[in-house]
Amino acid sequence: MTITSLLSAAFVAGILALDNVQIMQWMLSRPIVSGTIIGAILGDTATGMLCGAWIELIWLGVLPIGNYTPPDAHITAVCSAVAAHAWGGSVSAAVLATSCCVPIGIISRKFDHLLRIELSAKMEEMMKKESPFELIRLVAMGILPIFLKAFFAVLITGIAGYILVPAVTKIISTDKLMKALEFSATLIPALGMVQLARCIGAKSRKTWLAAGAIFSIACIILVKMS
Amino acid sequence: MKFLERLDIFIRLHFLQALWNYKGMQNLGCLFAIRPVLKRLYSGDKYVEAEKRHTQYFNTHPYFAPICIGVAAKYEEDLMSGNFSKPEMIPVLKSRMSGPLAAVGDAFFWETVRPVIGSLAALSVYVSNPGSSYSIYALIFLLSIYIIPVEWIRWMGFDWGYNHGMNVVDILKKRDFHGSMRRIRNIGALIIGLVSVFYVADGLLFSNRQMIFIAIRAGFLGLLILATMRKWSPTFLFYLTVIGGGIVGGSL
Repeated sequence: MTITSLLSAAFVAGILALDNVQIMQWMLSRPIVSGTIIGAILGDTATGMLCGAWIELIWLGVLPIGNYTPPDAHITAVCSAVAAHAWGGSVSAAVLATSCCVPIGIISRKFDHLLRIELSAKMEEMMKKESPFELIRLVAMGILPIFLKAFFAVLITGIAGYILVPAVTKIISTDKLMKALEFSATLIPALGMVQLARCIGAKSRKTWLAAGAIFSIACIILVKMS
Repeated sequence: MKFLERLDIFIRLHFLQALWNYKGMQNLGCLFAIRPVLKRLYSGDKYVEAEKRHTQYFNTHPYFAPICIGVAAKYEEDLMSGNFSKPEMIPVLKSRMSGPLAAVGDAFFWETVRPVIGSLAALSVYVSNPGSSYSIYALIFLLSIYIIPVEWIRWMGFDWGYNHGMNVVDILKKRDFHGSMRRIRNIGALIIGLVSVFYVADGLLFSNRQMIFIAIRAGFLGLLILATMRKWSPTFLFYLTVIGGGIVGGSL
């Protein structure tokens, strides 16, 4: 990982972070997308995509409804992609990186909460003045901290990953631990399936669940017979 | 309304939540979006009054907000032309529409379309190798089937609100969002049924893994279903998966 690729990844992560709430909302900040993009910038699309897919599945059912701020899945995915790449880019490194970066998403949620409180205070201050209000300045004020948050999170993760590489590589290069982490990775999709089932109310869609299951059992039998 | 003004509003609608705050929620974003209309219609004290009207509390689903803003823009024009005489009612009407639209938008986009597309994208990584051209194409395809309808609703939503006023609810009924939501959720359930069997029986089909792996996956899936029914936090379940899976995987 060169300093140029790390800076590019941090800049793109900052831009993509705006898609989460502030601008567009095109799903570009969804972990599966942002993790893949950051992975591609670092030259390790596979690891980035894997980290993004896991984060996507973990927080699939955590929704931004009303004034609830969910954990920042974007920042977790981009930091995981950077950390996993810095730590060698294997499946076990990706599991370790994702586990370490999940708390970053929870801390980031706290930051978003504070920013919204700050914006509320600014709005009240603005309302006391005569219109036309300086909305462009306020838009910039709403956008810039989010960009900087993701930018520095990626930068710090990249640098920390680079510094910690020798120590972490020593730990994860133990055959037994690598095997254990790789096995954990195979269980994560189950978590996503359960989250999706909860989201779509699969309990009341038993016929469709059964139809899918029967179809795949039939496919397996056909393949085994042929 | 001229095309350039319409385009200006459309672009501004993408910044609706840039000023999201706890006090007024999307109020400033809404004012930012409707500003070209207000600037065209008013000047001086009337403009100041109009801006104040749109700084009242407003919150709805971001993709459906253009409908409310279209309705508000129409009422502002009617107010100027004398066809409407109660300016204080404009924020009330806007707010009255925002609740039902937020309910439909949250249920349709946040609780249905986004999780289904997100999980399909994530699971496609397991179907092909992560980072392979197939997985990238799948991701681009899934993103485009999300973005194109979203942008269509953003563009058309303003027109629906502007042309039909408060009758826009009938237009939405004709679009049958609830029916579409039900169908997408059914497809989601079908996918879960399909994928969960392949996931558990992976060893049977593609490799000669021992039956113990299949038993572990099936048991784990069952445990997760129980834990989710008891509303355990997904973050906690993730750590449980990594640690529990690690212990089991390491001892095999």
